Amino acid sequence: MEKMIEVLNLRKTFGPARSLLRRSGKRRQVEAVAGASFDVGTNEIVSIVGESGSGKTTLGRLMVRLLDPTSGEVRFDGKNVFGMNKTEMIRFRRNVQMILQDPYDSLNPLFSIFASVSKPLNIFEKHLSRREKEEMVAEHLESMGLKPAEQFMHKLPGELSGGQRQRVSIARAMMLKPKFIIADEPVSMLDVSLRAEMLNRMKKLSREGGTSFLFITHDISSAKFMGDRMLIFFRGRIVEQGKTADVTERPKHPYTKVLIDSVPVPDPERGASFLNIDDAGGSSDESYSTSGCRFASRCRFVMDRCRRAEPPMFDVGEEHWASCFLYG
Amino acid sequence: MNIQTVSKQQSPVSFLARRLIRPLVPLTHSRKFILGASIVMFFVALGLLGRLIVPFGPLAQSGAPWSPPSARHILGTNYLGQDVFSWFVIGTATSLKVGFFVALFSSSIGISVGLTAGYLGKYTDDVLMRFVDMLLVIPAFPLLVILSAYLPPTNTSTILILSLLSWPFMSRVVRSQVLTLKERGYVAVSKLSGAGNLSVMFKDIFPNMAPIIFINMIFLVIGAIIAQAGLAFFGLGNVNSINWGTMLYWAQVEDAAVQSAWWWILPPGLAIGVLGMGLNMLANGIAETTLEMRMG
Amino acid sequence: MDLLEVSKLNIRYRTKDRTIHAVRDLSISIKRGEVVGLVGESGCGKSTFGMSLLRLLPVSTDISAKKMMFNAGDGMQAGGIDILELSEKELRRLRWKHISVIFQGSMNSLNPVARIGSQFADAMFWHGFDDETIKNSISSHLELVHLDDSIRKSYPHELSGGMKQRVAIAMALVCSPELVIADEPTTALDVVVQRRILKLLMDTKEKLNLSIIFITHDISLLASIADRVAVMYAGSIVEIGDVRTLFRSPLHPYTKGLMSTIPRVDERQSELVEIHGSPPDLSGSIRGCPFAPRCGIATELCAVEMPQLRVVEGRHMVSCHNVEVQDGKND
Repeated sequence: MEKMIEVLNLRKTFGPARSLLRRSGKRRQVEAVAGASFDVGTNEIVSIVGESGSGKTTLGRLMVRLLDPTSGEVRFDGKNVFGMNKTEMIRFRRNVQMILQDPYDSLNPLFSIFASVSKPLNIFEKHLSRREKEEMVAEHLESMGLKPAEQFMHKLPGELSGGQRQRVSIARAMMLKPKFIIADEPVSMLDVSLRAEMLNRMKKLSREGGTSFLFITHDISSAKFMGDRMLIFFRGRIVEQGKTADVTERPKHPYTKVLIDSVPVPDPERGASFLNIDDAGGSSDESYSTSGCRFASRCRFVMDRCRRAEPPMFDVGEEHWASCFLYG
Repeated sequence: MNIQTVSKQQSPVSFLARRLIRPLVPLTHSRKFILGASIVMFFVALGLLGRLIVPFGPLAQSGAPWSPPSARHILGTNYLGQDVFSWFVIGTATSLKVGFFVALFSSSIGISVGLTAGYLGKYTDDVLMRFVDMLLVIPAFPLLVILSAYLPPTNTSTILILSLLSWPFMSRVVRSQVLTLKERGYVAVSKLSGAGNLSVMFKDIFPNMAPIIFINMIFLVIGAIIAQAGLAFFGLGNVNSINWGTMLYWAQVEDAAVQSAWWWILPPGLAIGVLGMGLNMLANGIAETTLEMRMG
Repeated sequence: MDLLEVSKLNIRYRTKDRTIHAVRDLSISIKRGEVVGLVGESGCGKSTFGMSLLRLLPVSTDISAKKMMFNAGDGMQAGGIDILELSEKELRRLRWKHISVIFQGSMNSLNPVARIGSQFADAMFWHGFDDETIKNSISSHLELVHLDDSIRKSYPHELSGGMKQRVAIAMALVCSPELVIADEPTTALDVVVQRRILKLLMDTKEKLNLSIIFITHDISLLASIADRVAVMYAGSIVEIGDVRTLFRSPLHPYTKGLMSTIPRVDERQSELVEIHGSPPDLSGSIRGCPFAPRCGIATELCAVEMPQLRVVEGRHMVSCHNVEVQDGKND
């Protein structure tokens, strides 16, 4: 498959910023993304699953160049995004969009819906008349279920519900028919009854519009529904990646297994066993090791070598890799 | 699709009016704002009408010295027999002018410095903010006194000195606002839509801190009027200019208190207090309303 | 006698320009040692109901009920406590001593500048415990939630989210309440931590014979913890029943929708089942069944007549015109 976007050994370390009066010294540096490499193909949906603090949001922000990395590359159409000149950057902005998690934060409260959604048009399609822009905005809003669009276009974000705002955000992202969209937890703040519709819509948009998606989430179930392939993220590292069906039905990495076992099953017969899954080993549920395999302190298969060295990616099946010494 | 009808309803003028007026509507529900605005409008009207409504030239000897309020001189006369009411009205214009221009100049400096420091961050921020810190710890009033002693005693120099000394606080406020606002999601979205740095700063960040800037400008006005009155009271700045400060200065020099000429002391003193209160209420009204809107 | 009996509860919020009828004719009773799951979308009144049991609602709120009785186990008040009649002083006694609460934000409501131990001690001191009891029960309660005793010397920021939520649970249990209202206690947590917290909650419930009202928007959570599940929509219970009955044979279209709309990790789905539309505006009166505009099987009757909660079988009740129920058992 043709590669749409390629991430090569991407790293991002956060620490106290160096400044005149503060020398960056002993204070702890946090490795939010520690050497991630993967790609997203044309017309493909890849989901990234990780808990809070796993660095998945940082990864998304790096990929659209809202942040600069400590090292590593993101290649779009074969070109490193961080080395792009102005014209290349404009092309990149046109083709790569992002949908943010918080619908209450992602629209400027002072701009009408029309102004927010038409902004990319004002920048990239300056020749369009106001009529043409209004028609395009209306069409996109209606395709996201905001019907009739005229009722919404001239409202301010404050007059819309969270669900409606997220529809607006998605419509905005789709405006220029981008080739690649990163959706960072797009439904986690919406009501349950809305989530299914939004996920269906995004999947349909990708399938019909030929847009590639990177779907970032903490919820492995929706990741499974959305993605062709799946990456499991733990403390800045990809610990398992492969086809969605392989990863969810035959998980290899112990963390992936725990993650899947922890998803509540809507079945009372299995309820008791769900609560009593033995995932002991680690004393705490959120701890992680600072050297070697980051999951070692919580892993019940932990071995000596896990604490000494970071496991590389091992081949565990067809297009299926896991970063665990169990398979080395 | 009936987009055409929508476009017809939304002529550019009405659209602009809607954009400008709609955010102000909730303010009319705030009693504080209305009362504060009325007080301020009253003084502004007094200052603007100025020469049109004064019965006498403020320097003309229009009556007997030290005459108490009467039908001819509603606020009496001073030691030279000049009409105090005329002094007061003309003085209102000067005091307001000083307040307005100081607020305008110092916030221009403060906003530019704050925006630059906050948005660019890193070394720019460090250098600018250390400089601001330095200015903030210098005791302002003694410095004012010294500076006024060296500059020509005109209203312009008073405005200049006050402006140069009062911008640092504004720049701090603006910087901290920029720091929070630039992390907002819509700023990221705007960048993703292809907007450049300047566009993000002036279309997304700046308008969203307008209420806070406006509130701080109001406080700058109050501060400038009081500082100017204070300087004038000590005989610094232009003592021949007519304003609330010089009224108090001359009243003190000529022993108005000994003559029991309360009509000469009370109006400027009271005016400073009432205008200060009015401006304060205006600021509070805006603060409470915007807070309420943000809370949902 | 049931621990809690609520009948025809109505709650209205007054705001500047309108009144929101958040809870409408809600009736429910809860047995000792029972876990009742309350599920629904945001704004369905589930949290309002939870807070009303502690009378922790804004002052501009009208609460009325035919009956709202809490039958405390210590028998100090024969005939139970009428929650609506309590004075401010009696309410303080009711809160924490008889009914306590854990919310989603509990973990963030710890005082950041006080050690965990002293926050515990303060809470207990205000309920009139002596120093010796306080000291012992802090240790035993930290142990109850599987936290090390050394935690009492820590500050909140030194703990992870899951640990803070454990502390919140321990604090909610410290005055040995009989009923705990758990309002989305795991929503902000990761799934792995969530499962552990749920397990902990169930274990402590067994040990202390607690009753729990578990409020959530995620119906699948309830399968493993609840004895009974109540589905709320637009301020009323639309279906209630034993957890097995409800999951095996849900009857109300809304319950069915909630169950099938969630993506599954153990199934392959090509498209998710959607619930169209949005909940009704609760500031006005609703004509007919509030779910009718979103319902796939709504008939003309649904648009004009509000269905009543009717018994299907045993404790299984549903309010839907299109569900056949046994005759004679209707009220």
